[in-house]
Amino acid sequence: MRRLTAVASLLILPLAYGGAAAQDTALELGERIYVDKCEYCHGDGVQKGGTFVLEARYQGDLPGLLTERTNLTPEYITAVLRTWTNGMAPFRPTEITDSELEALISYLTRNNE
Amino acid sequence: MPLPPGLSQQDFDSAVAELREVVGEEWVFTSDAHIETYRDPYSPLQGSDDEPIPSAAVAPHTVEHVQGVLRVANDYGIPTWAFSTGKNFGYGGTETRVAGSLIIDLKRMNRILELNEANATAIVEPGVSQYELWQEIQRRGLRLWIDGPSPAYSSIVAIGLERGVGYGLNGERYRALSGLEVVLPTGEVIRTGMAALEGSGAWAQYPYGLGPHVQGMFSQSNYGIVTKVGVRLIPHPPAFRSSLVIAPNNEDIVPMIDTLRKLRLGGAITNAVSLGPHMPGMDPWASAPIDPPMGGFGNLGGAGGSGGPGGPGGPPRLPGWSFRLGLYGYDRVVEANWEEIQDEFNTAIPGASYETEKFTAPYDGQDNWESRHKMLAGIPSFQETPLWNHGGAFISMVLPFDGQAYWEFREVYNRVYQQYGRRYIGGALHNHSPWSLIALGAAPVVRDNPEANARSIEMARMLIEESGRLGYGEYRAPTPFADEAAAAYAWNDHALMRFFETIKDTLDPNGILAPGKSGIWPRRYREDQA
Repeated sequence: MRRLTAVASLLILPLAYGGAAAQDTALELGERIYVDKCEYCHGDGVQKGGTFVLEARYQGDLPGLLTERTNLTPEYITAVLRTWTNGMAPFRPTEITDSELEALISYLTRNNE
Repeated sequence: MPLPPGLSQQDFDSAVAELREVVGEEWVFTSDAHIETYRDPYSPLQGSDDEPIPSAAVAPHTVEHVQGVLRVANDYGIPTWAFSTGKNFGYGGTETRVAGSLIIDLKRMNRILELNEANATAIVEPGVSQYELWQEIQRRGLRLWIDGPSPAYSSIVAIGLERGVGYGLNGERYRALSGLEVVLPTGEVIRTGMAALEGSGAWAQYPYGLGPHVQGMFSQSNYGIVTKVGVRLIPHPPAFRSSLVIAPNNEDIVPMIDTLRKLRLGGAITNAVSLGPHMPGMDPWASAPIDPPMGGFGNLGGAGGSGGPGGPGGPPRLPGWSFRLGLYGYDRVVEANWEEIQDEFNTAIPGASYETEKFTAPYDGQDNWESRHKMLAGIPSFQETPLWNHGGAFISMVLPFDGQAYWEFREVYNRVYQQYGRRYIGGALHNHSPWSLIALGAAPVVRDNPEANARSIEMARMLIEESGRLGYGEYRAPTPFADEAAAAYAWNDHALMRFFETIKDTLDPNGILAPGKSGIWPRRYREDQA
């Protein structure tokens, strides 16, 4: 319960970094990681379980595709990836390292306002 | 995080420093944030006092690293727990048996050492996921399928070593493995089968070699860390027909099983069939599972559950059944078999219906196939990937391949389920080989509700006990229930377990590798428990 509360409070934290400030190289690395390690579940199309579940959850209020989101924060991305925050099992540091996670955050927050 | 049992903080710090020397500073994980990723989120023990939280994790990259890690574990007497990719959801994931264990995470050992299109084989390390192998097959433009189950980011090696199921031509996953390289708990490295011959070109083709066939000793075991494996793949057939065979009524499962047995043994059906409850108008395999996860395996009644078909207060009608059927080979043979198979099911099951589609080589559009076609072909998918907001543990029994036996077994499962406010409407039934049938049930886990989970644990134990009375045992055990599952194999006063223990004590004198895996405890733990 304690963990869930902590995660919920992250949702309202302001954007700490990333977005326009990120380097192109980090963006490119982030995109590559997304394609290699996220897209098979969070890509576009009916076969993609992650997108399917998010579309069902948000019912059009937010895009099901993570690449179209503009409100993802670094803290939230980290929490989802490293803890069992939603339905997805955590990714370990051997699957996505801490520095790869930074790059992924740059990529997923690139369109944030 | 807990320390390994019997170790002081000072000794633990010193062991961690030695591990860092072995694998490099950045590949030993001790922070809370990193250790969190090594907990099994779906475990019935999650969040309870009994959840065995690891002390640290180490990620070797080479065989020498694995040897070095085991040397440190032996020197300090640290229990370890190795896994390939840790995606064995519903059967334990990364969960250990002993709190404070050192996790050995093999994900970085992900080299594809050989890929042979003509012989349809590969030699890989344990960290290679099905998806990574698939990507490499695509990159090289090879006409090969894999046949692994979902999730695609699970290890192609570990699915075989855990004796899991696929759904196509190589569905009995253990039999897709041929020749192992193994680091024994003392650090010695052996190779089995043809891999024990210097330069053998038949490593992945002939698993036996000469003498005792010891490959099986390293499946579901704690006798060694497997570091290389030959894997058999599937060449593209000239034609492939993917079908869904549907029976309208719940009781049709009896003739469905018996007809399937006839067709499997007769050779008309060659894929590893998985039967599941079927709701009219809904392909049970067409959508990713959403919370609650265990609908087909036992609806949660009351708080925390969905009700739903067959649940307390839900609609009275129970679902029918369906299974995915794959036919592979020359077009005319596939079509002739398809006609005969429909005739057999139409005779046995009034109202049987079918959805079917045929594909022919080259399979250029295979990336865009529906998941059920991919699963039958052996293209890794995420169709069944748990996106569970809760969790669960599968309690899966080996039954006689017989419709009436399943019908009676189901009543036993349902009686236990009902004691816990649930109803067993029939879970998936796996048919690894033409001779075997495995029935899945599950103990549902409710997130952040240890009381509900304690009842689920009780229910799982009762399912195991009641099944044991019928002569049924689990084909693989969720980690927290390994002792109960092993205890059911009790013939001659547990002679088999004593044999397992003799091997364990010989190969692993300090008892450092995965103590308690499959219910096999090293001597020092047995003495502690006595």
